[in-house]
Amino acid sequence: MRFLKLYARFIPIYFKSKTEHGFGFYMDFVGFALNHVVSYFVIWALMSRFQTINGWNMYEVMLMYTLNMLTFGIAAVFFFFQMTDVEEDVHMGTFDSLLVKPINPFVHMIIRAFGHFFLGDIVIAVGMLVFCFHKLGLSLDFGSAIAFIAVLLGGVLVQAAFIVISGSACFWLVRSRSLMNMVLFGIRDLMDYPVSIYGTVLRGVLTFVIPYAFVNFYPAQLILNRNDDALFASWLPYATPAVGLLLFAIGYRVWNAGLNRYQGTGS
Amino acid sequence: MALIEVEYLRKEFKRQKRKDGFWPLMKSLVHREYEIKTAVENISFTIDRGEVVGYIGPNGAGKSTTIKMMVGILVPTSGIVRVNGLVPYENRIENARRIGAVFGQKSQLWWDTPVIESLRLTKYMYDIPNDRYERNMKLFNDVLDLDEFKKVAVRSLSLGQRMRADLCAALLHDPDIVYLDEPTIGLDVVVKERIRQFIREINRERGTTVILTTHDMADIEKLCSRVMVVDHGKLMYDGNLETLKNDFGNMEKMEVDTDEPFAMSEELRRMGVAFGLTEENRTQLTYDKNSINSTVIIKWIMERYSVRDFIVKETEIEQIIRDLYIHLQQQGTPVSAREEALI
Repeated sequence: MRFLKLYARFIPIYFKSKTEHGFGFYMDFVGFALNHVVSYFVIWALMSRFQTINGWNMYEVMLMYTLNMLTFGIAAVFFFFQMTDVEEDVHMGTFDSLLVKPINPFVHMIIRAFGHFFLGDIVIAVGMLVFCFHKLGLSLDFGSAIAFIAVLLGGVLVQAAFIVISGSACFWLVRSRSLMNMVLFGIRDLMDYPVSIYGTVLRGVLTFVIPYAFVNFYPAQLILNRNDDALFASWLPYATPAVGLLLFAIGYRVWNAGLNRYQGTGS
Repeated sequence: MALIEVEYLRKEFKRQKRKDGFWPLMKSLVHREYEIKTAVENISFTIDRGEVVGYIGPNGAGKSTTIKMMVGILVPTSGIVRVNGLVPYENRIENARRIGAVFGQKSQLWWDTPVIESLRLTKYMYDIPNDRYERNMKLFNDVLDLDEFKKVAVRSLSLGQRMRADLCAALLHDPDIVYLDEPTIGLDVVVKERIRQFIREINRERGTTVILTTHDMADIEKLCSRVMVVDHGKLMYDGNLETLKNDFGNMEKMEVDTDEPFAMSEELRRMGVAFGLTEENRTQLTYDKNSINSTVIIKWIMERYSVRDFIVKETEIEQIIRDLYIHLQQQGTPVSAREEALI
């Protein structure tokens, strides 16, 4: 409750100071969005030539891309710049200021910034989600809508956990930016396509080791009815919220371990 | 009961050994060698409510490390820190509610946020009631003059303005203790004086305990009732300022400009005056001000030379610490300051 109250105080001030930059603020929204337009165009170009990849049609592949983008966008609003700020603080030696405040540094990290940058992504993703649903002839009743939202939230937590874990590396390495980029804009890009197109080893890794498959593949299985594509176990899609919670808990533990290390070394 | 208790406090840092050359560097990628550096070594002291303590020592002496352990940022390797009965690193958040901290080099405020908004966020974060916030803001504004820059983003403030804003933020919640790590570093004389006045008033009117590190002797002289000197991680001196200055600040330096070159004189030497650097017509003399008066020396010189100018310099804090350190290394055989100057 206290957290939400503080959040409600911090965010308007954050926006006020950002909008003072005027034009740049609105350009932030446009920049990343253009990137996605290009990506959709590539999928369109590719799929109109090959029709299907491994039995997946264009709109199903677009749905994969969209879900990856949507869950990442939501997680990134709350964690991405917040974690890069932490890295910057650790590097510059200003992280101490989070440790002299009467508030959990994890909470402080979240509330002092807002990734308005990613709101553009979310808008595009929601639009494309509606579009893909329409093209695939999918419709959700009340029960399946609730289930779909629950697995999406699980996916958001998975995305958030990866941002927190890769970002927390700065407590050991001082610089974590390249690791973050590698995980969030390298490994995660594997999920732009259905994970079932990869070999068994990679499927296993993306399900059990770096469970990125839970950001789009397993959630999508719930609504796509592609039972022939079930990987490992048919109940895995239903495990998404639990996987998200577990991974996020691990992320918080890694953050705390990093904090302990910082308090041991002060650098 | 003392407000702050520190017993046998120790902090070691593990540092990777740096290697030169290609092969040693390659080897260090596989097998890393570390060396232990002791930043704080078995320091003990207690501080009572309402004290203003100057914590001084050369760069890298362990001042900031000690303060960071008292604040709860760093965990000690061994030893005890208790502040208000709490162990700071175990109860960091509870401890943070009751203290204020200003680190001279780095702002505690939110970088992109205007000062007034930053202070308002501080109010919410510390749950400061409205009436107390208004009262403190008004009071602090009188001394720190925040109005002139309250709408400016923290990142755009000048050093002096930023320091004033940081001080205000650190004291808004009426902390029991305020830690000031080099609060006057890089500031001009006017701002320095304003900040000193502010610290004095806070201490006098609210009984706030102040612990400050500084390299500026004037900060110590104008503010501190007690001085702790730390060097190489060890507490070298703990007591009041006058005693420190009498015991170790007794060497004075005089610079004399004469028309003709100054010749060494056996007579002056016997009076206890040592010759330092001499270039052209400017001569440096050092002497123990407890055994000989500067007027005696200048009179002696003026009787023999025509003096164009002369300056008397009091010993700088760094010199006092050096003398203190040498003295402590040779403990048991008290070294008088005069002999040292001759060495």
